[in-house]
Amino acid sequence: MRIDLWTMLKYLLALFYLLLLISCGEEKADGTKDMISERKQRIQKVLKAEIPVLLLADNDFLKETEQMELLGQLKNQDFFFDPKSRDPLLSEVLSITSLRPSERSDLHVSCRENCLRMELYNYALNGTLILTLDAERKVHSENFYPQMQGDLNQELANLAIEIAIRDSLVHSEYGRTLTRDDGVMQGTKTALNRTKCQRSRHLCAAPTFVKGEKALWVIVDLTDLEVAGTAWTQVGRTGMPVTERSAQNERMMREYCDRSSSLVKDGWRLEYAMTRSDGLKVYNIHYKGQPVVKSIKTVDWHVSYSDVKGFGYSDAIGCPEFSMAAVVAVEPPVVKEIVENGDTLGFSLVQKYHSDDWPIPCSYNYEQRFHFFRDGSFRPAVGSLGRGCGTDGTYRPVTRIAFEGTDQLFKAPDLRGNWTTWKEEGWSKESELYPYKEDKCMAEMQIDDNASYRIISNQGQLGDNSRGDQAWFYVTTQKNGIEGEGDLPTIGPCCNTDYRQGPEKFINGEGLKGQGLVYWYVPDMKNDGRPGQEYCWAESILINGKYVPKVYPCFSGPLLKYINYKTAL
Amino acid sequence: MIISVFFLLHLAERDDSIYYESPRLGHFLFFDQELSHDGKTSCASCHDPRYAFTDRYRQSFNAYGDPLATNSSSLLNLENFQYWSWRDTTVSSLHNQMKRPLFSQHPIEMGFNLDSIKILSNLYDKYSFLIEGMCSDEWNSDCVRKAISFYLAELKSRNSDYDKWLDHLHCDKWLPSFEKGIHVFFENGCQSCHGGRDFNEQEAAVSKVFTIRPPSLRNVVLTRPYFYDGRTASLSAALRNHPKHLWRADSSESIEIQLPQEKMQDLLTFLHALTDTSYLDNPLYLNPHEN
Repeated sequence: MRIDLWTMLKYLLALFYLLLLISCGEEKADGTKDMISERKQRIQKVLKAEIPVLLLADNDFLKETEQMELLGQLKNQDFFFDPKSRDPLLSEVLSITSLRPSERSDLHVSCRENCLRMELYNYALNGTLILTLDAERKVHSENFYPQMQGDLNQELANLAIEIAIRDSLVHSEYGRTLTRDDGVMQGTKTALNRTKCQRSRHLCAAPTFVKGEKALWVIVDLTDLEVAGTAWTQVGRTGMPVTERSAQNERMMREYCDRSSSLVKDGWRLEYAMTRSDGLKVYNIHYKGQPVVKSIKTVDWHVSYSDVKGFGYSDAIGCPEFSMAAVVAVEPPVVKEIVENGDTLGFSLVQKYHSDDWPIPCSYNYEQRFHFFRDGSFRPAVGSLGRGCGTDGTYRPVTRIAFEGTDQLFKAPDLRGNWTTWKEEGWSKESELYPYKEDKCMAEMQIDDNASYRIISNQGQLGDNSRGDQAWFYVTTQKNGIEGEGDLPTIGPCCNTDYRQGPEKFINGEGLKGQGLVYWYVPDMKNDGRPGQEYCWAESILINGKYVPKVYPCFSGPLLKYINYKTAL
Repeated sequence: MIISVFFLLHLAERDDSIYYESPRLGHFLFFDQELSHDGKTSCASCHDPRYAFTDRYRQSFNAYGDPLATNSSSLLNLENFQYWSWRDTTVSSLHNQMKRPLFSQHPIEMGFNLDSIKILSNLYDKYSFLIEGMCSDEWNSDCVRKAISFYLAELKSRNSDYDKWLDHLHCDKWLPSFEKGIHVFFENGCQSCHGGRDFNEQEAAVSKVFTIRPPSLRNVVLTRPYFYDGRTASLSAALRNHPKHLWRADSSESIEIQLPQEKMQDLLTFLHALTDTSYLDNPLYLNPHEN
């Protein structure tokens, strides 16, 4: 067969084009490796391995060979393989860190020191496996959380922004080529309706690019390694940043985050410690010598920017050293006295968090306030100090209160106002028709024969011109070591508009009698960026030649009013 | 007496041509994102069935994040409307109303006219089996509007607890507060602006001074935030601060509906009893591209 010159030239050109394609997949023009191609190659390799897991590189605690060896020892290998076909299911080690003081306190008596926590995400099952490892690096406990996602690690955050900025449609939508430096919030999980990211069925992140008074959200599907969709929000007028996280004293934070503190004051004795993603956890809470509450913490912040499209952030608050969350603690907690009309009523333990460059658009600032009153009442309050990534969003923080003991009775009204004792785990919601008792009492947690907490709805006592919590609340039973005893992964997607905020996953018809109970509280706070109507909002204004933040906070949280039947009589 | 007068149906002037055609094509088009020039926006992007065909924004956005003048109003029970725009009383048919979302340039909503040939061609490829029966002469944007009008005319929601009560069926969970709420509603003249079967018809004397069309109160719980600009987030706040300028162009005041707490609660109960989500069981109301 004779091949003419023209045909040969065509073959050579085709070969050249093919080589060009391959080389582009390996290395970019600036010499950096192509993360996406590299990731795809790693996945293909891993799926053929003995255990199909993307391991965590450059980890201080466990080398990759040690990680693989450890995972091979797990009793239940169904996490890695389809139970019927035994085909591999792709997983990834998201983090390996030392067990924080707040986690050691719960269960791990043998894990006071040198224990580790390992978090794996399974892309096929969309669930998270949390392992605790003892000092000998043996598996101490393994807990699987279906439909829950751990925090993204740095590699996944980098991958998310890489996928976003390499998408030509994203460039054309934004109006110019984007770089990594243009993006924010790439380490924060998200969702988007009508895509595989809907209700967080895939692991998705939302690198966001501010443009004037708008922000372009690029919803990146990290399971399929592609852009799932884009959406715009209005963010209001761009101001100047007032805070800068990098300016904080990282060493002080590291020392503070890695230890537990105690506090004895006004009849209360308690401990507190920072978690990696559940904020400040207050635990071992005693009032007048009696243990009353096991722990209180805020496990998720769900921030939604569209009820229809269902996109937003599944945010977390935690320590900068141990969390990829964008909103981290920036200074140690402080204790303040609660004074009213000259009388000291108790004290407040306050922890602040903010992201870089607050209060410019797409930055966040959260605050936890634990109020403890001298009469035995307490209030776990959480608030947003803006600014967020949209003028018309909704904040839904998820707070967990685990009571001490096993003799609690939970009472709440039905729609007709009949108060009943709940026999099983369940949920309810505040609404305009909620049949409150006097003082806006919405429920009651009886802790023993002599005492009870009346749960009083937020009526704006937090100095924020409150627009009400409209909260969902849930009651579940405590489980040893799971369902939130330790640090939880993200338990709910950003943008469900109904009771499916996460705690409902722990409701499975179990009876409440003789169990320690957990009360979950999820308010529904709509932010507002309209001039004159600001709420959950912040802006920077120029005063005496300097930019200062102006804050319009929104706080939520019920008051748990202590009632001692004996003294009440 | 008040209630019996209230049930006299007002037959509004309407575009009768929309009631005898099949809604199938319009159903597909309503949920089809290819109806927009960027391929990302359908009618349902701002009119979600789960929220009584609203989007629950204070002000709706287009696909570029640009705010629109108002929020999106419910598309249920449209046949009694005298005009189909929040403000423009000249929009007297659904067919005309659709010009704004489809063709508006400032701001663009769906941008149909920016890419009309391509959009029509894509739609024809997909729906030729339905188009041929309806627009066999010429497939154009007018046919698109007509088809969607047929569909919208079918969207009804009249199966609330209030409707059951009218039919002497049970609605125990609301009683007795609900019945008291009905009386509070009529005693306070709410029906002068929110009258008729769907609580969206104005008495003749009132309608002359309206600058904003009063919305239906059916499913009002689902359609927060309230008023055309979403100025209040809760129903009780909407009752407390009813802006007078919505119907009096010369006033920017609010009318505070002053009621004792118990009566206010009864009124709220009545408004909650107007909620009907049973239509969501009907596939005609859901996205056909997802099923």
